[in-house]
Amino acid sequence: MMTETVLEVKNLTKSYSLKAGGFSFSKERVHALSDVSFSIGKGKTLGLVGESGCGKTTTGRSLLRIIEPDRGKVFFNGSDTNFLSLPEKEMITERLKMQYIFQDPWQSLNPKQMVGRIITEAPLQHGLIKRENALEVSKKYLDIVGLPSEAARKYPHEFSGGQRQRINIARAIVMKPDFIVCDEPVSSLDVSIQSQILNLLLDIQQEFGTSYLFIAHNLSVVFYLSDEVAVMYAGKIVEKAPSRKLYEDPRHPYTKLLMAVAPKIDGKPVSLQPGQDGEVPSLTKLPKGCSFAERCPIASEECRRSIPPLKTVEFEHKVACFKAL
Amino acid sequence: MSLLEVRNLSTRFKLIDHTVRAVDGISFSVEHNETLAIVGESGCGKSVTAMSLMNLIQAPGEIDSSSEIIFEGKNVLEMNDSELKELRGGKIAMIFQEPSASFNPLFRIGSQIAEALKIHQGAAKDEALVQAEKLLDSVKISEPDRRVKNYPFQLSGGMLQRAMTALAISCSPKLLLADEPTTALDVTIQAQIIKLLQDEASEKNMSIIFVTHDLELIDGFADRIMLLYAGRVFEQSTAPEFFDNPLHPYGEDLMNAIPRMGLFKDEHKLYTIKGQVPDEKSKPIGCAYAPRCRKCFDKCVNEEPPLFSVNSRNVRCWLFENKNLSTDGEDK
Repeated sequence: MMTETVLEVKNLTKSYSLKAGGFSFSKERVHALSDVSFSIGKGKTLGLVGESGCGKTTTGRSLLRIIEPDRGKVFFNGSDTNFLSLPEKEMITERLKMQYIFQDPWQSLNPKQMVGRIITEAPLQHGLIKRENALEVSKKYLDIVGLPSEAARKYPHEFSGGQRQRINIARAIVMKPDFIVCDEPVSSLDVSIQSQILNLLLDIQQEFGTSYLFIAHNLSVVFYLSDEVAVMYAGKIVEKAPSRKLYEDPRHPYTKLLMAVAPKIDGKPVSLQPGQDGEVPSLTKLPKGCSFAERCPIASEECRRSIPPLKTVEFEHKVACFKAL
Repeated sequence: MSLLEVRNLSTRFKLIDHTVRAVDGISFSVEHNETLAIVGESGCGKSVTAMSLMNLIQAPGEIDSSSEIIFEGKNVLEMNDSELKELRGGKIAMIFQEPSASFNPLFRIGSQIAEALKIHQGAAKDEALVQAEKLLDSVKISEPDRRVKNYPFQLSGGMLQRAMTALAISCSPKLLLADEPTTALDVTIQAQIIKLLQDEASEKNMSIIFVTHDLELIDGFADRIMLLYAGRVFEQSTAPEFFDNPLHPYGEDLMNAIPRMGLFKDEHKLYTIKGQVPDEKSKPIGCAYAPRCRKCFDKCVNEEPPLFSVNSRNVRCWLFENKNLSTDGEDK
């Protein structure tokens, strides 16, 4: 490793019981995440991409213990102790350096709090800043995210979607985090606003050396912003490689499918791809073999029988496919 | 004769203290078997334009009396209720962004498609249900015999959007209004729906008006593009012309702001369009895009440009004043 590792995730697994209430005895479980492992270097971005329901958001949330994963290990900032097994009090202290930016800027800000209060609530709560400095601090961070200092005394409804996302970003970076989970931060924004926010995230990364886990379904955005990209399917990482390498040489049939159907400006009409008609398998009844086998144009008997492990095929390039060489 | 000819369409929403000019003097036409993409950011008037075409604007909104929407030689705005009823869902059909919100959750998919057939084609109940099954099959929904009996919640998002499309094309419309039909869907499903629309259009000789904010999506799909900004037409070009060389600085800026496939942060900085789309109260006197435009000069700030026509393309920008061949009559 050339750069220092900020986050090391090993075998993160999460399943949900389908039990609906006291009288339901269903033993079925939804396997949302199975053995997801990755690491993120200091100041680097790992992009997580995949279709809805593939486990992107569950990954982001469970590694911060917003939802508790079943098992797995998370090592933060080179620590030897597993973040997932820390008792709550220590976990919260440790988590101050990890932040989360949510997708929907309309639902993630308290409508009854002024923006200045929203931004400084966490550092005040944890005693990182003094109350008399709060306004000053909020103004400083509003400035960093490109909002006027008067914004501190306004309410969230007075802002547009892009501005609200800037407030969200300010709220995250005020904690001086080493690591931020960006969960689809630009998907609900207009094109002109999207580039503003992407550039802001890049500027912040450059200035503060923050690492990102960047979750999105838009492949071109993920390729653009990430140093490394992991493709998820049915709760597993099926391919992982540096952004450019994955773009130039995708190995997994699912990655190839995603890239082929992503809309691009090339003057060509959409063409249907093999495997496109299928759907993600039900996460309660995962197939015995590779989850993608049903849709895969090159699947063999072996693929339906056993699960392909995530194997290194080339330097820094891992693929979970028997057929990808 | 064009299938649809829209002249000087203005739709306003009268609020207590001010009036929002959501669509402000838009003129365009749609030919037979043609796909027109209406592109723009939120609040530019795309959806209001689509709703206006079917005369579906409700109070406090109103369509200006000087507007004309000529569909197959008849002005939609002068039609009476029974003519409108025949038009909507019959000759002009619409599909929406959120398929789950467009179906009634209490009725089976089959009976909702059959209802349209009963109303518009006078089909008998049994006959309509058989027809509904065939339609589901034609939009490639597997096991259509089982799916007609399903309720909307039993279908996935992509499948529901297909069913929505089946419902829309059930009465062989001449024009399909598609308002962001793929925005809520995954990319693999999105491509399926686009392909489905393309196939149905060429098979049934149907024209499409495709409303979207996603430029990448319409390349290779739309024949012509109408770029809207703040309720105004900013550019009208054929799709290849637009993607090759957008005339309006706004179009150009949008193209540069998209992180296109194959661009990486270490070698390419995305263009940032500063500021945001103006709302009614902050609409400038001159060009609506002037405060954000990197090519803005004095005239842009003081006077709104008319729609100039340049080699059979239209563009609303002072930069093209001298290249003007004829001014569109809509403005001054």
